[in-house]
Amino acid sequence: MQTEIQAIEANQTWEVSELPRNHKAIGLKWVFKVKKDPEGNVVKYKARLVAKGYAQRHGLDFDEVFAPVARIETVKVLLALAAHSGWEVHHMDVKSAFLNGDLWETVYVQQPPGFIVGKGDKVRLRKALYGLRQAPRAWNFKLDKELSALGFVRSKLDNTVYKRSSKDSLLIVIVYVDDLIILGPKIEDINRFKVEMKLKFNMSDLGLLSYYLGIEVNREKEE
Amino acid sequence: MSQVAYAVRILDNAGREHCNPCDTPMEPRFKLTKGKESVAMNVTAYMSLIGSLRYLVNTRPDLDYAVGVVSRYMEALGKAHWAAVKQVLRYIKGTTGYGCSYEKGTYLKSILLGFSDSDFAGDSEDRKSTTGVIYFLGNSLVTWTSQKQKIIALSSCEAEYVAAAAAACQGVWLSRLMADLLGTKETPVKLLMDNMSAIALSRNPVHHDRSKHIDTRYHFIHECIEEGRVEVEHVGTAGQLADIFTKPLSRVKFVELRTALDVGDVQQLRG
Repeated sequence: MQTEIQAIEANQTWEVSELPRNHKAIGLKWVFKVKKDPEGNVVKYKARLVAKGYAQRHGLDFDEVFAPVARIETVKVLLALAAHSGWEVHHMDVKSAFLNGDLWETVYVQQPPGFIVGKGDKVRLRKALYGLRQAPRAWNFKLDKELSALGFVRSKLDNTVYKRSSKDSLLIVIVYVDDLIILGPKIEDINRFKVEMKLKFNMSDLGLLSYYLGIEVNREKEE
Repeated sequence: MSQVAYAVRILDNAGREHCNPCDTPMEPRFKLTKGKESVAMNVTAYMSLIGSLRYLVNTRPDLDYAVGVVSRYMEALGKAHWAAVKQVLRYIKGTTGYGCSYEKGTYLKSILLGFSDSDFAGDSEDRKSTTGVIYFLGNSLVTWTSQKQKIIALSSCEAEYVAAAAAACQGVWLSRLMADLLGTKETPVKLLMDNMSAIALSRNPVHHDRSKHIDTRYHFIHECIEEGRVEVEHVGTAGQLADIFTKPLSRVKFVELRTALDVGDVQQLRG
């Protein structure tokens, strides 16, 4: 719970404020989860603060909610391509990804149970919170902006695939919400990208791709 | 690439972790019809189980057809459907470690090879046919579908033609994606079918009596061929790898095709 509150504060997600007359504050709650690996061993215990998105009203608290996710076919095509060409496939994920999304709408929420600061129990959100209807879209928009700034081009055929290429290098990134799959012929390029991303977001580097969306990926070294 | 943990979890949730394994997910010539039992079945449990099985198909092309068939009867359940699902689970039990494997290329990497096939009027009630489409990138199986057709085909040629049109859509997308990612020129996709008259029709759609009713949207395949984006060729029934996506096969044939698709025990591969 402390980690989550710290992440929220580090991102300047909200500011304490008075609730204006014509606004309604949305409730928050804590969700607890046990994370497991493919063998079923407990990896970590996780607490996540979520907004009760079901209380949001369309047009008032949110507008567009669509956000793309990667097609499993694309992932398979790219894995096959990487296998054929002998490329390495790496995996990273963004910690508390949705907290990075900038919020366009004015949304007020109650302060989290157990962590009330200042006077007044309402806060205005600057960044998205988990559970908000527009959170995935806000995050995707943010990530898209940052990847474009790094010189990536979004593919028209699957808009979760990004490519950065020059004469002698090629780097492909597949985005599934906060999971990034990175592949390319040169390991230096992959490592450079990891450093670039770590400067932008709070990332965890999961190394070679091994477990993604419940799919296990095993790689054997060629003899 | 596999979903071993996921497969085991499905079996656990279904209470089938100790069932006897079997060789194929569905018996040859097996047919299902809508359930006529008056007793209420546990529809929610069935739906949720099917949902999990569908996700498993992501790395298990060998299950695609069987899971497709059992998912057609969500609203008309009977004992037979549960029995069919149990057979699928028993098959999974014996093959939990299975998945797809991709190898380092010996072929040119941007070559796409597709197979399309159909069974004609496989559904004994509404007489609709099933499409099976697969694509290989080099020697790796990358995409597969097994889907009941939306229309009733009047001939096996039409059923194959409809399947080919679906294959063409997928092939064109794949070829564009590859070209886009690698920054190369789009290369034509090779599509193999086992029906001579469907091939003839896709090369030259003459509107004679038996094909004039075919909806214009399915002539997409013809357009692709004219523009040089797709090339169709004939393949004998023996070499038709998409067969496993259109009908339940005998054990020998099933294992043969499964091996040809490079689906097998990935855990064993690793060791």
